[in-house]
Amino acid sequence: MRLSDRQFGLLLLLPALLLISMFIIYPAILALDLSLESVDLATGARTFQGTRNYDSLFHDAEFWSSWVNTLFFTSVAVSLELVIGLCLALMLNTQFRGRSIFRALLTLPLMVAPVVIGLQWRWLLMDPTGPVNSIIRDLGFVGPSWLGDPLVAMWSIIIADLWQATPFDFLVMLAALQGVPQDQYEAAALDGAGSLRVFRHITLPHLVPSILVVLLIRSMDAFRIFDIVYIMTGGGPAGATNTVAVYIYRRFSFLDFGRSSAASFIVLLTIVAVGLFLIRIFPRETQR
Amino acid sequence: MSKVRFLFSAAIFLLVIMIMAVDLFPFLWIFLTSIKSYKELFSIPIIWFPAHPNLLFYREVLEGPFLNYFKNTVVVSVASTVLSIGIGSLAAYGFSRFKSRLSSKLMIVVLVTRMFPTISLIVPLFLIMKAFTLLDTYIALVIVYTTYSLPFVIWMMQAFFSEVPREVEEAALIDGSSRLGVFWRVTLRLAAPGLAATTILELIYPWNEFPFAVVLTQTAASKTAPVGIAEMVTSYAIAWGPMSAASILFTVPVLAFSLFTQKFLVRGLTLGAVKG
Repeated sequence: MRLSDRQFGLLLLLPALLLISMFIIYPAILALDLSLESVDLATGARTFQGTRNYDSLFHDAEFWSSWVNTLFFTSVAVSLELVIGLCLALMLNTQFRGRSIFRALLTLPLMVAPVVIGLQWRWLLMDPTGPVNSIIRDLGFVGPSWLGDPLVAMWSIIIADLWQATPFDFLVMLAALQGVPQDQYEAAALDGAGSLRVFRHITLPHLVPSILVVLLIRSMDAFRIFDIVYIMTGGGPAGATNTVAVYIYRRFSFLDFGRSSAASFIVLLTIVAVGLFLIRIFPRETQR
Repeated sequence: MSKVRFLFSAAIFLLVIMIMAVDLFPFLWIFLTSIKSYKELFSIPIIWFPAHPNLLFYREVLEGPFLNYFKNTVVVSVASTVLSIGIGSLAAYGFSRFKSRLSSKLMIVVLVTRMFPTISLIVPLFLIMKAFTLLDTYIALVIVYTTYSLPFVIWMMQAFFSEVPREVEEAALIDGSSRLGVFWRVTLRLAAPGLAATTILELIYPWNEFPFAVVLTQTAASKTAPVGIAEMVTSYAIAWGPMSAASILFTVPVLAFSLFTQKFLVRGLTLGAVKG
């Protein structure tokens, strides 16, 4: 028996869809299920609790502050990365010697494990013996307690994230800049347009699709930041860097499966809803 | 005019130097830490370069369980990359060549699962693997990494497959190849650069992954290197010296690999975010 093209196509999808259903979609459903139950760890027995886990979650101030922290981190880190990445790409969109080496070295932070990045920055920012505060001291100032001061700690996490993720924004912006048709620049030069107007009317419109995609990808990543925070501060000091992912993990590690699952499910719903919304409002051409 | 151009080049040069300094300083610092001795770690004023560079921290790391963790990481990363590239490419081919109303709906499902925050699924996955008694085994990690790579692999590979001209495939079909034969001998060959870019980026994920590994592993039987490195942070102290040595051993292969595969890497990273 020979399969039709349609059947053959679906057969190709089968292994992938089977795995995705079993280990991504089913766990998502199980997260909802668990959030409505309590689990007895000794016997594995589960009893239905209704919305009790959600009640206790919503009365947990730590849960709400983890949202504030996560939104703060995501918006600040993602926008700084984009602005810095774009500025660097605009300045370095010229031929200079050693450019390919430069680009190769810039991709390195993207490859480093977040666990290593967290430890490395914790070590770099250590007060007072770390190199950053040593350099600040040599310049005649006193560096802050980067990870111990609740007002500064989140900025330390942002610095570590900037170090890793800005190269991504830079590479994408550089690639997008090189896609801008040269003849439009030449035409603008003939018309005597200033560089600011050229940027505003020629460069920027060509970059917008790439900027939107970068913002989407980076926001999704930043929102679920876990490893770096877990290693650098564990959510402290005084909960100042407690993100939703760290909150979920900490509830899990205290074997508080109920609240952990309830928080998991809320985060899942939020991300999928926001993601679908963003995909929908995106201009068609960015979807490829 | 030439003076302006000179100043411009000088400014670019300075900027490049500054970016490089910020980019590379953390690597340099970790490396310097790894060849210091214990008493040089916390001195004020800071000791940048060790008086007697030595490999004692490396020895300490290699005598511990780290080599075993490293081996686990290699096994799990290679196995899950092979599986996810294989299974994912087949699916991507199905999505890009045999479109139907059902398959385009399924594609949306795949894209949505790509957005799932993995941290939300650690509790259910922990319980599932516990029920299958797969906790602390390679199998659990390989299954999880393969599955969570699939949305990415499918997304990348279907973009590359759609660049392969259909006429080439049709010609091969007329010559009597089977559909799988055409996929294997024609399409996959023509999409080889894309396949390389996807494989390189995909390999990084299981290599560096931490949240699933920390939940699904328990002993040296399956603990991966990121878990081992994270464990050097205890509530009392951080073993900065051995930690730096372990980080260097763990990171250098990835860095070397990424420098050698630079061309594919940049292509893969910017795909989807840049048209054309």
